[in-house]
Amino acid sequence: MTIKNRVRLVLAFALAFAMVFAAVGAAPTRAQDTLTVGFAQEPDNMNGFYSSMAFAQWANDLVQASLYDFSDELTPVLVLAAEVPSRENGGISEDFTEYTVKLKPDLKWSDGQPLTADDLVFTYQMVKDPANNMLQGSNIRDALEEVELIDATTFRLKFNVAKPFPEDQIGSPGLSTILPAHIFRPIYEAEGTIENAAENQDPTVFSGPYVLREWKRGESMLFEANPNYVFGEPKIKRVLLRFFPDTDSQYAALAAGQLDFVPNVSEGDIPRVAASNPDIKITTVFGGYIESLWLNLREDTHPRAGHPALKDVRVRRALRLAIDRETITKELLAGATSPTDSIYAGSPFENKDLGVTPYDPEAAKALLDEAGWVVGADGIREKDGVKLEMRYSTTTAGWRNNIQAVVQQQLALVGVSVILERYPASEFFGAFANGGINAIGEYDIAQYANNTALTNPANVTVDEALNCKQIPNDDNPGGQNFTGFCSEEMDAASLVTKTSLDADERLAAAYKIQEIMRDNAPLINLFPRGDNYAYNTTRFTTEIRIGSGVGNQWFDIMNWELK
Amino acid sequence: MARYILRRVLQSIPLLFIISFILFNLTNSLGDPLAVYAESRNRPSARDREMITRRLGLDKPILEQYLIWLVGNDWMLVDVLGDGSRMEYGTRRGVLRGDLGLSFVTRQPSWTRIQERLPWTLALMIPAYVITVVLAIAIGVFSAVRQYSFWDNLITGLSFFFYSMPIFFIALVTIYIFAVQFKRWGLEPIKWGGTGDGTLGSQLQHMVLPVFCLVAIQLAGYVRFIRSSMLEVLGQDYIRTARSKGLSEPRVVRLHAFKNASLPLVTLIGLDLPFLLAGAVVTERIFAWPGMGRLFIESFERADVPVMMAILMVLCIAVVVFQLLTDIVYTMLDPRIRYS
Repeated sequence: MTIKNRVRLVLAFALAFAMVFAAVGAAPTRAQDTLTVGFAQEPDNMNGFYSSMAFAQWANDLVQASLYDFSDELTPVLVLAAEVPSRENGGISEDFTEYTVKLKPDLKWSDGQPLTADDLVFTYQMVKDPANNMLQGSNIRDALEEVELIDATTFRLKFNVAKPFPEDQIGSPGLSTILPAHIFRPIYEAEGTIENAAENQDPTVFSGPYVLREWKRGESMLFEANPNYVFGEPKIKRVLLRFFPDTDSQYAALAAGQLDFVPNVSEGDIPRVAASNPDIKITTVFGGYIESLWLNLREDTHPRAGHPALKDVRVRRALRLAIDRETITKELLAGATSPTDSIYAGSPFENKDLGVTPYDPEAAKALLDEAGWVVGADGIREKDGVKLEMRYSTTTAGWRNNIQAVVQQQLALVGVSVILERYPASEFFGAFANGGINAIGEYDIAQYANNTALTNPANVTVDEALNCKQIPNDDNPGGQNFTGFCSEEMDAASLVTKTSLDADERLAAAYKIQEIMRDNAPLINLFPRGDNYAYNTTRFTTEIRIGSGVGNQWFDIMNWELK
Repeated sequence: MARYILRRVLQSIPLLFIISFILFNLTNSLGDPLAVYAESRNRPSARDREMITRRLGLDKPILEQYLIWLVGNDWMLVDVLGDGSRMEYGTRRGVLRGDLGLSFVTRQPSWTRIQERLPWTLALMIPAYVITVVLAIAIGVFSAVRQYSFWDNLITGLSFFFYSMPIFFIALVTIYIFAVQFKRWGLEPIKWGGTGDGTLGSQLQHMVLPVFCLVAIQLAGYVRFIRSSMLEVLGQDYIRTARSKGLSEPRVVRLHAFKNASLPLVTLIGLDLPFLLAGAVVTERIFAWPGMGRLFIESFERADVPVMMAILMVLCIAVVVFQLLTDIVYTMLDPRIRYS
């Protein structure tokens, strides 16, 4: 290389370094009026009817107003509706088959077009039409007979059965999205469906506190305040959702001040997130999930039968007594939650008088002895030549695997051996027809979360996952009762919680369900899972209110303010 | 030469069919796309899940699914509602007619999803690869020429150090030092996470840490390869001849040694280049870079078969094309090689 060429090379390197450092110096500081939020996943769809993904729901809730939300105290918050219809105010017919809903006057979409009852009528028509292939809204679709426009701010819904819970039909738990008729109607009329509308992926018209300004796929979504929002323009002018698929780097960005707010912090991560920066606060709200150990009580050979010992209720109760759930929640989950036996935990329908089964390994041993499972030479219990050795399966989530290890040790102390198995969620939760681990019974103990009751005692877990009619087999491959538990009495009580028009009767039925589950132990509830949020307190002027898992986490965002 | 290229292209067609069939079966056995709804708060009802299964075509035998993926279903009647009440022609044209299918997750065309991510992957991978190769050539040649010197030993030691480190470790350590600790020390932290605010300066800054990690992890292998390749050539008779006829050492190294040592390097680059399209799964995930690696892993997690298949087929075609290009480049570098 000649001297000239060497000089050129040095200059080229110098220029490259200068560009990089100039870029470093020129990097703009974060805008003070922008709330930067870290999302672990990117929303898959911006039409709430086509997604069941929590992150998509949260992004949608920023731009979509519902008729009414629920607050952090589970009380209704009117958004577009003028009132929550009830029998008392004449909004619901005596037999609960007809709702008359009134909107607030002078509502507007973000593009200035009026938001009227016609938009609601169109939305319900879209939900009802199977050609739209919507993922959500089945509880409306199955029951709705007719939707009628009364005037610009009033519409009426007629159902084929009594619908005692208006939130499931018109509140945010049941109807979180309202479609702008002036955008979607021409698409529907032209194509016969709105399933493939570009508006689902790149929406342009909004009713919520923010409008979606830019979606950089795989990277971020930028929202700007909607001046036409029913409560006025929010104080925070911009919200930037940034996608951090790796939780370690997401928490590093939060600690470094690059993120202000992070939803969905796993219970197992709370201690290190809180310790990473003294300005970070963790808030837990009611999430609506309960983490449980499901026991395989099935007897048939296909799907696979569970361990024969699990048929004996004494063994199931012994397992519950032998697991120290208090220590698990304190040591592994930073005390963010506490043990429960109730499938209604955390909801207003929980029967707290039933208490929580204490950790009592001696009582567990006695029950196992009584059931005939005696300790063998190797320390593992056995009966009629069968070892009390069980397969304990769950997903590959790290915090679940930690719990597995602790439960394994605790059960070993009472002579129960468990083999730990872990599967990717797509394999573990696969359908019966696809050989999903949970569905075909490839476990004796399976750990995962189930939904609990939210605003009413109709409990989807009891209704689907523990119902006699939902046990899957070749004739019923869509069944959802993977444990095989069957109690006609509980099914009857479940029906009452769903259909009775008498609130006291529904509550009594919910209490009955909790008693049956305590006595029969078809599953071992570990703890209710809250929604955990981490945020940087130095960014907000005051304490912020975050909505529960029932409705909309942003229900109060118009009152949030940045320093 | 033209006949050779044509023959190679024709040979690759059955190969791609076989690969696609194997990959289709493998991706379909990775899990259930509907499993994602299991722990969802707004879980679709059992009936709706059946409807989705039918809509995605997952109720059909795997061979039929493969044929539809290949040739589409716009020529056959599809039972839309599953009860025979509504029969309509399908909407899929099939891969052979340029339709890579709709993503199970977003309902967008798979190709659209790739188009969104590919430029970002190339923006990250090409600079990282160019820097890696340029540095590796410089260091590898330097190391070979000064075999067993202090610098050679140092470079060898560092090569093994970085080579043995997992990328996630380097990535998290660099984030911790240059972003978190820099701020605590009162220094301007290097921005990372995503691609920046859209300006070139911001993008370059966001590239610093991921590119550094990619170079650190890849450099060692290339340096070792070039060093050994150079050492082999430097021991040849023609190098001794070149030296003995009075050529300067830089000229011997550059024109006689390196040119001959670069032939295996071309093979290596030819093998690696197609995989630049695949992105870097771990680096993109940790630095929240919206590239192809992340798209693939996200599609994998949700068993989004059409997107996974689209990415894999693009890669397969790229491998075939780059192998052919590598063979052609051989003829330019080595006049002794001729294809017929």
